Amino acid sequence: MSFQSLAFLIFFPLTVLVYFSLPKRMQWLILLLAGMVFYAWAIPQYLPLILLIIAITYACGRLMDSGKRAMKPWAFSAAILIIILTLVAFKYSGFILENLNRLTGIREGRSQNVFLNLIIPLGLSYQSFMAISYLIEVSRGNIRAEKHPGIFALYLLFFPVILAGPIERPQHLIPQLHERHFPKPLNFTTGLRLMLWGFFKKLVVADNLAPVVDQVYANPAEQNGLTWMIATLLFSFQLYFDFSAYTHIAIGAARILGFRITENFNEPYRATSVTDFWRRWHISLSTWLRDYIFTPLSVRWRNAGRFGGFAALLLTFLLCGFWHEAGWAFIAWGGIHGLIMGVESFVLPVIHKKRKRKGKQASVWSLNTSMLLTFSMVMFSWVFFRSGSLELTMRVFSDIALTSVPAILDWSRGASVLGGLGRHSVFLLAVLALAIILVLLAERGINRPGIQAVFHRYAWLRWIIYFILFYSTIFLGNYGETVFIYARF
Amino acid sequence: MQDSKHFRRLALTGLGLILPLAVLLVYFAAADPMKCFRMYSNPLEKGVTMNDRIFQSRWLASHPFPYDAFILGSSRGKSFHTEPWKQYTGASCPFHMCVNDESIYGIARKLEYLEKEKYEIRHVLLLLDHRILGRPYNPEPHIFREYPAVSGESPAAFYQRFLIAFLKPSFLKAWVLHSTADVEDQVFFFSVDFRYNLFTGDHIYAEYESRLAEDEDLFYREQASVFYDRPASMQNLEPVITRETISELERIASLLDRNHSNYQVVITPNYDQLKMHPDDLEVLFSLFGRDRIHDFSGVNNYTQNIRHYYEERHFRPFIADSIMAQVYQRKP
Repeated sequence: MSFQSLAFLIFFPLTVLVYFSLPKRMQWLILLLAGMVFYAWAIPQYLPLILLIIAITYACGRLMDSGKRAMKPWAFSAAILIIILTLVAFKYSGFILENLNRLTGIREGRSQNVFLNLIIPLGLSYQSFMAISYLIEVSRGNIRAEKHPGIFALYLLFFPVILAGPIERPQHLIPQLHERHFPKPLNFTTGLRLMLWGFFKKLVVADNLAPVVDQVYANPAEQNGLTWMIATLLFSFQLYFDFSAYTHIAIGAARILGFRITENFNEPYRATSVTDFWRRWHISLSTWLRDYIFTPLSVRWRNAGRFGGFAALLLTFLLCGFWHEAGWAFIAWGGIHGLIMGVESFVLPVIHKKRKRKGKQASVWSLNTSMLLTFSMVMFSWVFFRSGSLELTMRVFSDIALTSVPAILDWSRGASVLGGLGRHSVFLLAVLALAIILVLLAERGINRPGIQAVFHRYAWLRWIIYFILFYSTIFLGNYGETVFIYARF
Repeated sequence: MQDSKHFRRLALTGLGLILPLAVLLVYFAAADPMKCFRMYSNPLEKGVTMNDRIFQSRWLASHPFPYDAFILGSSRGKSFHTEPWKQYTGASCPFHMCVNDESIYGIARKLEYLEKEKYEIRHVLLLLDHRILGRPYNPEPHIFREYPAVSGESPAAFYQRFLIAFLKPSFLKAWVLHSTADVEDQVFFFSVDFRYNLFTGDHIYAEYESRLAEDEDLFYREQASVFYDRPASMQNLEPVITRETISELERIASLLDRNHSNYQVVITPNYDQLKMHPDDLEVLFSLFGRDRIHDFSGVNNYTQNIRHYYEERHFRPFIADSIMAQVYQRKP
């Protein structure tokens, strides 16, 4: 079930109503049933698969925590292996086979490769990471294995985070699942506000940007460097608004039910380095990668000094790219981020040290320059992400390198060089640009105490804003067949 | 106590927020501006453009006549009428099912619906072209979406499309202008006068026909701007048949064989004069048999003369009659 579907508009209020109406001891059961319905809505055949993963993870977790020390490594390895094999079977086998065929020269059409035609179970990557996180935490002794099978199943089937996270840690979510929740006005108002903001960002901004970007990327022959750059810039915002919208709806829905979910974004496009970007973008994934891949690897390779850290970073981000999607473009995207961060791990400490020695703070000018540079690097890396293939990515970059200047010169002479973008009116593009700026400003301002105080003091002002957001979403939202971008990973 | 007061206030302000939307929703349901809830006198009624599939499906559901022969295609097939077709096939009760912007998906689903509803599918005339074959999916726009009973889509999802279209500011503006100042927006409103035969489903371009009868030269002078220039030489289309299209075509072929239907497939003579790609034709030959495929696409006697068309999209009934005569090998 998708958040922006009519089914969710009925499902969610109904779940909230039943959840708070029935005795509190049954709350976990209501949420578990709701999670199953939510999960099975699109492809019910995959519900048994996720239930099997839940059962195996639960059983292995209990074995690991049973006190039988000899069992612990076996149970841990078996569970991790099964989870990874499931992920490989559904997500990576097609890609692996395709490349093996290419290497061995076997010719096989896409239609003959059954693995390429498998539909990936919804949210499998997220559930796998949550299950692995649970197993690692139990094996490290940071948490006890969950005894209640229903609560454990709910940890992996908590519907607000099923499709695209945030990747909740067991020590954060499981204790909340044990608690009894009461309807609280503050939770309702905060949750509804977050959901409204999420729907606005998704339907009004991200989904209205999508057709413009799609038009350009679907017609590469018509484009020049200028149109690629504009489309990629718009995609950078589309992706951010789409994913952060999902997160806000998820956090809002969970908040209404009485849960606090991890924030996944912190103004990522204000980052002053790529390292900083990953502290602000998809935080639940980057911290997962840091805790379970990067840190163990860099500890293991500590003898190699900074180069060990560099290698650990590179490997972590290659895996990060591969986690997103099975394709060389995504692996390259991850690799580029890893490389840049590796270089930053050498350069940034030197700059900081130098500044410290001189007793200077970074100037506004240097901060803004860093921000712009970081944003440019991140934006160009999204080309890999959006094109999905190395061939198209190369074409985009070569067009940008070779045709941007002539296109800008032609444009300045009044020639129409907008390619696929030209099918959309300049007015629409201007409105979208304005919407991007307004939303970014709003996200920046909303956390400032002064603005919060004004917002808190004047109810009429709040309601005017809610009214505008609500009716913009109704009237200006794009209600096509768009899905959340990250839900496909 | 404090909490319930807060919840009451939240509920009241929430109600205030959604009140304008609720009013619009009630109006949408009661006044039926998108013409999707009530049954109208014909599917091409003037005013807001209707989804003609709704009309057709509801007609079949509520009037169980013993139809045994069906003409399927897009609006370009509307010039094929059941009366002359009856003479060639011997069908006792034919029904014309061409709808606007038809897809191969829609044709397959309609035939499956007819079979499910136990109609005797004795004769079928399939009127195809590259646009129909290029769409093996249920069209997205609400006015071309297949009716739920035919497609199997949930009614909620189907009607949701009409609601979303109704709430678009561009439609609301057009609707308000229409209701207050009688101004008709060309995007949303349909203004050509048609005659529709409820029993046979035949369409007559009444307005065009009366203008043609009055003064044919004048008609074509007035229509001149819509007839764009075509390439001087024959242009082949790119192949449009995909794996999904083949799957739909296979379902159609096996259904027609299962029902022992007498059927013919016509590739219509479109004004664009684009020739169906040989690979696509081969697919059709292999699925339906070479003798059943009649390709009138490209440059030929039918497509060369602009007076064979009402406008750039629709050819006239005498062309359809002549094609039927050729197909059924009874040349006039």
